[in-house]
Amino acid sequence: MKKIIAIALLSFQEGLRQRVLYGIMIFALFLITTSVLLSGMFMRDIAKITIDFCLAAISAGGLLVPFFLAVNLLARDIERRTIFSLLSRAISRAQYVLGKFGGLVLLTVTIVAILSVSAAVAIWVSKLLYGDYFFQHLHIPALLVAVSIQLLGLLVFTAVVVLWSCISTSSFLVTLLAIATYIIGHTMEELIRFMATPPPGVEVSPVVQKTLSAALYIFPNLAAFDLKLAAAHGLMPSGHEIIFLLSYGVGYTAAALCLAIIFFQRRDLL
Amino acid sequence: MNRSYPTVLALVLATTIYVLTIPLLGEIQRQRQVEEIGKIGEIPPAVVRALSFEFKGVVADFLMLRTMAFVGERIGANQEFIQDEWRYLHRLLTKITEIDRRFWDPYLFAETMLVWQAGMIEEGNQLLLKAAEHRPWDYQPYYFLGFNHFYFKKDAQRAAPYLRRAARIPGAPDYLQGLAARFSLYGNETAAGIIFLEDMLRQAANPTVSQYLAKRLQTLKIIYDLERKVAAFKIAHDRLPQSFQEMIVAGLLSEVPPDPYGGEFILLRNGRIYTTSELIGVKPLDKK
Repeated sequence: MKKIIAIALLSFQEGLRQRVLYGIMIFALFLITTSVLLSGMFMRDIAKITIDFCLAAISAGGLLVPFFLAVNLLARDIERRTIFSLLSRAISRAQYVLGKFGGLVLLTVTIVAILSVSAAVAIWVSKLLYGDYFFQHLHIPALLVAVSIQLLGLLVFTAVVVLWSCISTSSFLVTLLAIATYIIGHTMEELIRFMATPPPGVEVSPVVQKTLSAALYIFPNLAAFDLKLAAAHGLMPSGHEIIFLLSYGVGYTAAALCLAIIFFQRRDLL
Repeated sequence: MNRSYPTVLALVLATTIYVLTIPLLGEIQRQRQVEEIGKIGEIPPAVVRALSFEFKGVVADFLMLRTMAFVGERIGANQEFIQDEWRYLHRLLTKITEIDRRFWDPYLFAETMLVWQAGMIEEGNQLLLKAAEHRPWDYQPYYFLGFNHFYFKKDAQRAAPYLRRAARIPGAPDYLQGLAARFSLYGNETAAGIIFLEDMLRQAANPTVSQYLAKRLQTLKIIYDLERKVAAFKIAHDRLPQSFQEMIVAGLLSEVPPDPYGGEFILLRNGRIYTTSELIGVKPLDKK
């Protein structure tokens, strides 16, 4: 466990060295200004607009980790040959993968935390500027739950990108797979709903239906972790829904990491 | 010669060119707006929802902002809408409410513009029914539905159940309890319109919309005042006045007030007040 933590801290520091946090700080400042200014242009739902922008920014900031850091996870270490010095110090490949993932988790949590604090400032400034009347439906616990579930969704996605990077050494291919996973993960639910009740005249072939059903079990349903709209309207998900999402998220992440370890253990690094 | 001179010169030239093109670009984009709004309206809602990924709220907000900017610009320039543009707007508002079904602004905008300005009562009511379904905590969709039936469709019987449903929702203002009765008691749509517009004005945060509502409210108040004076004339003389001049002679009116919309108030034979501006050409659309 100590070794995993050590690698995680090392990966986290490496992420910091890439000046990700500076970018995030600038992004956070931009977020506060934009959401406060834009929300004032609307008629009534000022709180909803502010929250929409803040939660979208937290998502976008969190996505930097899987899209820009996780895709280079192994490629960079192999390129710099740091992987060999690590693996030669009695660190197993499983510990290496878990440690790397741990580092990405730490980075994601830090980014989400920074952006959440900026979002809180943006909401507070908006409330101060436009008055309590427009913030009657502001529901802080619903926001906290939405951000936490969003964080879980980001970790699920990061775990899948870790899996792709353990399968392929090409950063380009990993990026393509990450984009495909993101698109499928966010549209699958809509497509399945469309398939269940196709509009008159539209016939969905059984092959497409089976492919989509298979995709439902292979790719993560990232849209399920998206509680932003409900939170923006001050709606709290049920306890049952939260437990279900937690189980799905933790289960999927664990499965993806196990697969990543299996692939990485069989991989020829030379 | 300093080696950086050609680069600086090129920079100045390039900056001048792009700065000069900025106003022209704005004009081109303005011309494109109608076409784009029409095109966005044609995309199936399921596709827009799917393509919004996890940013559905923000996509709905941007589309709403675009809609408001388009309408605001027209109002600012005093330009009238053509029927197709109203239909584009209706489709776009429907789309926005498909992406985020609980978003109140598009419903409020439909009530303010489609119903009041374009006379698209049925379309507005359909959107309000959707709002009532997805915003069960909000009294306003039923309140607006009740008002539309009373004021625009002159159907007090259908208006009453909507107003009663609105009054039952927690958080509804106390005055809603007796509003159905008050509307019927007044038997006067102008008074009901004033109550309704005052309520909408209290909620409007956007300056363009506030100005638009305030102007309409001001005009309705003038009409209401004139109608009350006509009623006072009738009580005093046991007949309706034939003209405003008669009311001025009777000392009820010092002059005919100007219409804030630039039209002219006309006293109808039944004692009601009409304005030639029709509050910016409010004519119901021909349904094709």
